[in-house]
Amino acid sequence: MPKITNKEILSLASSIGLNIPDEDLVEVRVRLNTSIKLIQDMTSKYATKDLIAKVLTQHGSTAD
Amino acid sequence: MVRLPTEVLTSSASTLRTLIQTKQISPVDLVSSYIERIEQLNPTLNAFITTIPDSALKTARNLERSLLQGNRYPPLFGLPYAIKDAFFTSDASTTAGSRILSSYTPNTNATVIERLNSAGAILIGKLNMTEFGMGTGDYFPYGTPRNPWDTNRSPGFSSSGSGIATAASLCAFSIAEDTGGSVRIPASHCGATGLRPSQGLVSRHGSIPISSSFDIAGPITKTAKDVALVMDSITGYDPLDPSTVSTKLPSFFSAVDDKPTIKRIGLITEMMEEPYIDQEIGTAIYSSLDIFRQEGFTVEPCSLPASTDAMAVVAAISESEALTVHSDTLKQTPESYGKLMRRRLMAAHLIPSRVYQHLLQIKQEMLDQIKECFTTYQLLVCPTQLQPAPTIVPLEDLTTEKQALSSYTLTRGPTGLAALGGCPAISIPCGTTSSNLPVGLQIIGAPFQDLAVMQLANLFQQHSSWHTLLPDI
Repeated sequence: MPKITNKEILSLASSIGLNIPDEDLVEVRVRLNTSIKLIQDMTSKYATKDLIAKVLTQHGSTAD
Repeated sequence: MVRLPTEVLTSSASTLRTLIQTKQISPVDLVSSYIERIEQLNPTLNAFITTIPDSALKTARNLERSLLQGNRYPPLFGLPYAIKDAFFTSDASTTAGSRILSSYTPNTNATVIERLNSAGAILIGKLNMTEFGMGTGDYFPYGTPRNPWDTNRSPGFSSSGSGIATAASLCAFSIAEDTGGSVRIPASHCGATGLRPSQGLVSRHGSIPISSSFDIAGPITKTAKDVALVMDSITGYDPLDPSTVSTKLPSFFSAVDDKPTIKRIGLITEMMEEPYIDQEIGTAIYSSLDIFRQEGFTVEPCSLPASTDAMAVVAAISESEALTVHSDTLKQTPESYGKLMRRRLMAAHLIPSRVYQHLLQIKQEMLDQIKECFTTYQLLVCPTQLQPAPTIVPLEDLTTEKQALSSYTLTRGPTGLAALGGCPAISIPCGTTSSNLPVGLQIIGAPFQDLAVMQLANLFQQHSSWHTLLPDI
């Protein structure tokens, strides 16, 4: 998953009624992106495979 | 009222209990002496947010009168205690360490408090904590809590006041709350003994929650025997908390002196790895194992890879679960929170649902690892913290991934494993560093093996004296 930008964070936050002050934006972005990366790394480490997601991806491209 | 000597006030709860029951000291004198000690030391240590001396003295007098009427001693008769300010009290404010609740007084008591009161204990005050119990921070609206062993250092989070109050002998015992380590970390840094009970053993009714998955109350005391004494009074099914278990529990206090019926103890190797562990802490842990071996237990290295990441998983799930309580306020008045909590909650709010689902899958994989480990070893040991109590410094804003990864919740935290597994885990003093800071040994059991955990901790304390050391304050 690509890193989420400041602009995307503000847009996401706005969509759920969350107002992120300017002074918090950088840290919120760093925390969010770090957490996502960490969870993705752990997903590989603990062999948690989204098998159905993979099957759907493979078959989705050939579906009529 | 008689002012009791320091030697009495620094005694364990079990010893104080005996002194009361043999009429060598009275509850009124004990309460008034602790109140005086709090007035003397709290301006420096900031352990208490609120004290309730009038109410405590009234309760002590009533208890003394009840004895004259021929009533029997309840198990905690006359023992003054203090509790983390996350628990509801109807006769004192409950701030949860936040400005938001600075004028909030609930109209009910938490079940834990009701049970302690019924057992004859006397509440003398509410204890300092990080804002809503979430993690580390330098935001303490009610004063920065300080470690009694070195007031320039942190006492540990989040039940900071609970660790200080017991270690500095400001009460007979304290109650804390543990989500990812908040009983054990302050116990370790302050040189006290603290138990995170099995999930479901202690009611959470009337405590301000962080995480429905991981929150649990536990005692911080001078000894493992004191832990058992307090646990007998606070455990058990509560109809007001459906997550409590209804199984019949043993009397921990009656059985804590028995040798645990276990054979194999596993030392979690990932928690001993350099450069993560402080060398002096490593030495103290290895030395501690000799006591177990001399008592006939087999102690072997045990690899548990989940231990390195458990804290990060617990923190991420807790932050999301905390939103169930904080989301509306965060949206309406974000400035009412300290910046650390506000930023953590905001980031948690934006975690994509698919990533969160992966987190739950990882949790399950880790639970399987922990379960497998307990098929070989009955108990696990490791340091409670990998570094000694840190110096109190203002927190810097996080601006890089590297900084974020080195923050407390994302590094390898030895306390995360038991939280994730719903396991009982105790921290006991097992040494000091060259800077005279306490080192904590953690003993972890499979769920509902609380008695074995307490028994092994008690056995260790019968063969060591680290738990008897007192800070020079």
